[in-house]
Amino acid sequence: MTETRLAIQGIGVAGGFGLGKEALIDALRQGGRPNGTVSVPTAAGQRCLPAYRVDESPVRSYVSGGAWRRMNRYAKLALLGACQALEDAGWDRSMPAHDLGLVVASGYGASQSTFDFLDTMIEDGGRCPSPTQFSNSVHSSAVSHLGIVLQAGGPSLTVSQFEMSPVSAMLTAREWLREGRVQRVLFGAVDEICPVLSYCYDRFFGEAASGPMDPFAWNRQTAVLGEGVVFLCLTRAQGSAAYGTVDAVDWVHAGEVASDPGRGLVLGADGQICCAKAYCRLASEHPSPVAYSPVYGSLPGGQAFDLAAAALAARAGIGPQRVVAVKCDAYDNYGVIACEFQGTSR
Amino acid sequence: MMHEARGVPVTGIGCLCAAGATIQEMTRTLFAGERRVTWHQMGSHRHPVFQLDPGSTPDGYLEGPECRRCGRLAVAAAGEALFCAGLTPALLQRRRVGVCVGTTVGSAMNNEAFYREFIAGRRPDVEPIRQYLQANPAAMVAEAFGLKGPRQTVANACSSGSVAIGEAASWIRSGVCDVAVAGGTDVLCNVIHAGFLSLMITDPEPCRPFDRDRRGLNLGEGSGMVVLESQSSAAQRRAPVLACLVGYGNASDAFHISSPDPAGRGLRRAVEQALAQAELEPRDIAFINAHGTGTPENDRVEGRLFPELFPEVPFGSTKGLTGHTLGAAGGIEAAITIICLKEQRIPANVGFLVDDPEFPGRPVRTVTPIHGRYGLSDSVAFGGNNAVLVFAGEAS
Repeated sequence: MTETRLAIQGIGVAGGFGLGKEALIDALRQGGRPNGTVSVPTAAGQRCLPAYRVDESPVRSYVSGGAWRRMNRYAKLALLGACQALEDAGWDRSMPAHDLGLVVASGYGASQSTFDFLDTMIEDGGRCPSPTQFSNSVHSSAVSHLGIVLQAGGPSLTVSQFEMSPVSAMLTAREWLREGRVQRVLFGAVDEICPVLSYCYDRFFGEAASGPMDPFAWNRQTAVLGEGVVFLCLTRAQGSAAYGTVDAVDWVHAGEVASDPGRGLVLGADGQICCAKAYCRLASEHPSPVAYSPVYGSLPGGQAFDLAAAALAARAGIGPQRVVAVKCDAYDNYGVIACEFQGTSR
Repeated sequence: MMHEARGVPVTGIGCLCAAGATIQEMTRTLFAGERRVTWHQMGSHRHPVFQLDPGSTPDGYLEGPECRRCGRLAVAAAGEALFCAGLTPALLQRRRVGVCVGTTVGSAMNNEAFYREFIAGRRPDVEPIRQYLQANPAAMVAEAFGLKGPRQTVANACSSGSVAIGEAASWIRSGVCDVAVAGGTDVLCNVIHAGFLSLMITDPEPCRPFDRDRRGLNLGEGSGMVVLESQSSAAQRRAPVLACLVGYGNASDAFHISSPDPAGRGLRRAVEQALAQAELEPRDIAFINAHGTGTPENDRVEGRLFPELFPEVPFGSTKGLTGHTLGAAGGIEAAITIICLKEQRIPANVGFLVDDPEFPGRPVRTVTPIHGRYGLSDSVAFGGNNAVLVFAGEAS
């Protein structure tokens, strides 16, 4: 297989830990916890569940009023992360960019807009479904809005592979750079909480959805609902790399993940019991595995948060420079992303 | 030639849609110009749709939520494609096989019945959501055939199927996998249908791509898959090569959330990328399988761009025979393009009667012989993504 290393040139993040790199580093230092709640209907009335929530309003400074009004929350989250990453990389976003590829990973897509559209379908006996809500309900709406705001005319891709979305999307980002389709890729993961998702979480997991998250509790469900966005600015690793490099991206089936004690192991474990056995085995084969999910919660794009967190932890001197981030799914698949990060501040 | 050396062999194709439940049946229907329109009641109106023949759907197809039915169609088309490729379970086990599937409905958590119960405060059972979580199309195909390579469900709206094939080809070129099953899948879904009705881009009559009086699209359903294989894998098992994918372009309009750029800039870039990768000139292209949905805006863009970029090259849309199958369209039309290269003829653009004075392009009105080895298929998506595939037929 042809390996092509990618350079991480910028990072943009927003999650339950707050907005931006410093907020994420602070949370990594202090330990994470849910910053909000969601209310779900139960047989005994409304119940509050802890959740990792994002305030997307700071994105307003990046777009015009018209664009802001036309955009759904899912796209606003994406734009918030993307613009921060672009600023961090020093990439000019005022010029049309046909050499920029957009790759977005999302487990559930624009879930709130999907149900908002259904509301308009159901109201008034279905006489006036909203075309705006429909346009915004597709998974690719985040990429479309990003493309319009950034005037990015290059290739675009939205991947929806649940918790394996980031590794699958990263495979494509690497191919685009390897084949020279683009010079730069804006790679991101976006997921939003909506009332239906919260309700389902409660129905699936009951009291266990109340946390607290313990990614190393192998015999019980401890996941807490999360939402957020991560974007990475990627180029081929041919010169300087602001944060370090993505050295290998691999999709591995049925336990063929080789343990490498020379690299820190970042487990994608996020308290979901369905994958606990696989993570337990990986953890047992490594001297000091870590899991960052208590900082951002449980969400399909978690592995992208792991990459950002690991890069920033290395930068802050609180994490190893060489890491491998592993995410599992319920089908015994493993998303493996190996990185080497810079250990000193810019 | 360079592009032949870099091309990715297609060793199998599979398809089911309103035009036929197998490649063989679809081929016959396409060249007979047989339109299988059915009428779907929504509210007080009946709408033309292109539905699978209920008598030839996969087992269990009519059960469960739409997303799961999407996966079942993908499994059926993938099964036909793998059989066509001669890839038995034993051969598949010895290869690293990836799956890349485009869809819209298959990734959408839009179960209407569940949501009606939810907003009525009746605390619905979450089984439909559990099924949604188990219905990822790429995962369903991989699990059905025990495939161990990477999985990717592409959610690029109507270009998803073409994008899935283009991206899977790069996996083969870089050695990520030896074989990839790639294409698209989608089913008719009331929620999506209501969305297109709200946009007022559906035709109340059977659709008329490129016709002056066209009023919009008709929805369809189906799945189309190709088996892409590394040259070494295909050569090792002496697999017959149906065609080679020699070019792929993917570019964005960056213009509007639901309307195409009237100047077709994104589509032009995608065409240019695909031709550049294939190391071909426009004159090398024997025909174009156009997206041609029948919406006024889409057909105007293609009707202007293709005659400019490809003067004298015949083009046509097959949406008048399959309907617009959304995320499946690129997969189904990749299979059609390969069939046309083999047959050295293209089907009539069914539904077209009257030239549109707004653009110079006129699609083929009858089954038309072609002369050449290269066919181009394009997909244009909601939200502005454009994808173009160029296939080379068998060596003469």
